[in-house]
Amino acid sequence: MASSIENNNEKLTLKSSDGEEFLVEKHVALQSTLLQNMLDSDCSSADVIPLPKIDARTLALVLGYCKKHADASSSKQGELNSFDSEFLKDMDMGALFNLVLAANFMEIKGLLDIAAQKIADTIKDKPHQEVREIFHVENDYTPEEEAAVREENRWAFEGFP
Amino acid sequence: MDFCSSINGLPAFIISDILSRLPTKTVIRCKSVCKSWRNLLLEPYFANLHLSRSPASLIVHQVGSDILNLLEFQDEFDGHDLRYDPVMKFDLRVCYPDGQILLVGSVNGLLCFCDYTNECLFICNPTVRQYVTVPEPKHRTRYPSMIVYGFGFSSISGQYKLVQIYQKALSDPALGNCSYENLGEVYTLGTGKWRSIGTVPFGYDLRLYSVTLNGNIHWLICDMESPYSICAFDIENESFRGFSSVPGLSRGTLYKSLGLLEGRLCVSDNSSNSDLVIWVMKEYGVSESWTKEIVIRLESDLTCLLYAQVTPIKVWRNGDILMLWRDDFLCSYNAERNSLEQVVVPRESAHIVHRFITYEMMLHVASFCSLKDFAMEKVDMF
Repeated sequence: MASSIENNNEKLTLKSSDGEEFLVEKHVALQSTLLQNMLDSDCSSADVIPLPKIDARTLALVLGYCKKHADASSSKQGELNSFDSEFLKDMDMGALFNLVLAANFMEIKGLLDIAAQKIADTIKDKPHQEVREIFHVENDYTPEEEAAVREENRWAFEGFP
Repeated sequence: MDFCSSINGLPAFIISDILSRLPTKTVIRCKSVCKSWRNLLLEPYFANLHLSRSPASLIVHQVGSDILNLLEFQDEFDGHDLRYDPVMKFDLRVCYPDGQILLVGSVNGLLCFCDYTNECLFICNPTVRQYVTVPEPKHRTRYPSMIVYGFGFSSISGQYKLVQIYQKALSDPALGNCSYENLGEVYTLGTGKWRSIGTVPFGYDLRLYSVTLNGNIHWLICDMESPYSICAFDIENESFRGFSSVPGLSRGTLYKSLGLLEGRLCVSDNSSNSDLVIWVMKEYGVSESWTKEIVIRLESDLTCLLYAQVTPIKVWRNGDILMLWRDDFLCSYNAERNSLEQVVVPRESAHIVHRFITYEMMLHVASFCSLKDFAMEKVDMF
């Protein structure tokens, strides 16, 4: 796949956990501190870089984000902001969790920030029972324990179930 | 990697990162989600992360009510307001039997207040509903002697310190002309005891508010002879220094106040009969950098502002300035229209002990910093 592209040394190949390969322009890859450090050290850009923690669906999203941010000039912050919110708009929670994991692994701070913020925003001002449902968290409290924790912070539950 | 469907499949520090972006009340309710979250939210790592993202709110204390209201700033380019949530109300009367409290300072979510009647000091974190009663200082000053407090944080040592400055008569005042010296004591949170720091080289007014910035606590000083107008106490080194006077500022502290404007030290001077002037120290500690930032001509409608202390609190996004006139009228000033708009704050009608309603206001950042992390302190809940 890589050989069919000109300027091969300006591109690198990333391989997802499920074996899909992505050809990425170097300046796009540099959005990731992890890849930047690999390129700065000895890693040849001809090698395929395996990312065993990131599946193809997530990696495609990550690279879409990186490309937009690498190509945009710094003066277009407003445009980037609207891209960011559109980018995450209809993403389901599972995809967001995987995105935040990938951003953390690849060290892409901006993406980690917006994904973590998006996840936080979905539970803002929600009752804790609903938070469990949204995030698929199992309640490991006994009813007595749960009542005790709630009692410690009773004031914050005023108006909540 | 397995497809991650539950948030608890994420590493703990990412969960902390996500939860640290939530409003205070949501965070507290999240303790009820599951056990691991409760533990996560009690860790200092979470408290520090949350603090770094926590927006400033306004503490409003109606003097005599001993109830604090925390008001959120609603600040957009096209308008601003204060948001009042009745739940963000804290009754401090449970902390002490009787008396009357006044605020000393607020740092990193920890609030220091003083009961002047009983000469007791308290440090509380209203967000986690904890407070400690500070041990008695070595020197107890009987009212109405001059006494000044300050509360600050050193990011170098991570210590919170409370400083008390008091006057000691050098001879018996009953014998006539008497001179005084100013002395200081420091209480480091977590140590359980006060330490003397010797002579303080400045004189102050009674019940003076301090401003904390850059690891220093600042007060206006009142010495008529001094070349300085502001004193800075270095919280880490426990040393005092003076900042040269604002150019053209008259002597004394009448109708003047010290404040913070966009993170810079400012002096508001309302002692002339025509203008209210707000001076800003553009570069911290550099006396040459005092700049006349705002001049409000007190004419027509604005003559009502004359002859009183005005304390700037915040610059709104649209450039308006939120300020407290005297201690009872909160307003926003619009420079373009040279106009004032009153900002209404809640009243505690049930506890009014004063005929006139007066307020103390200061900025406060909600934090989950636990007072239980300070070794020698006995922490009570309220």
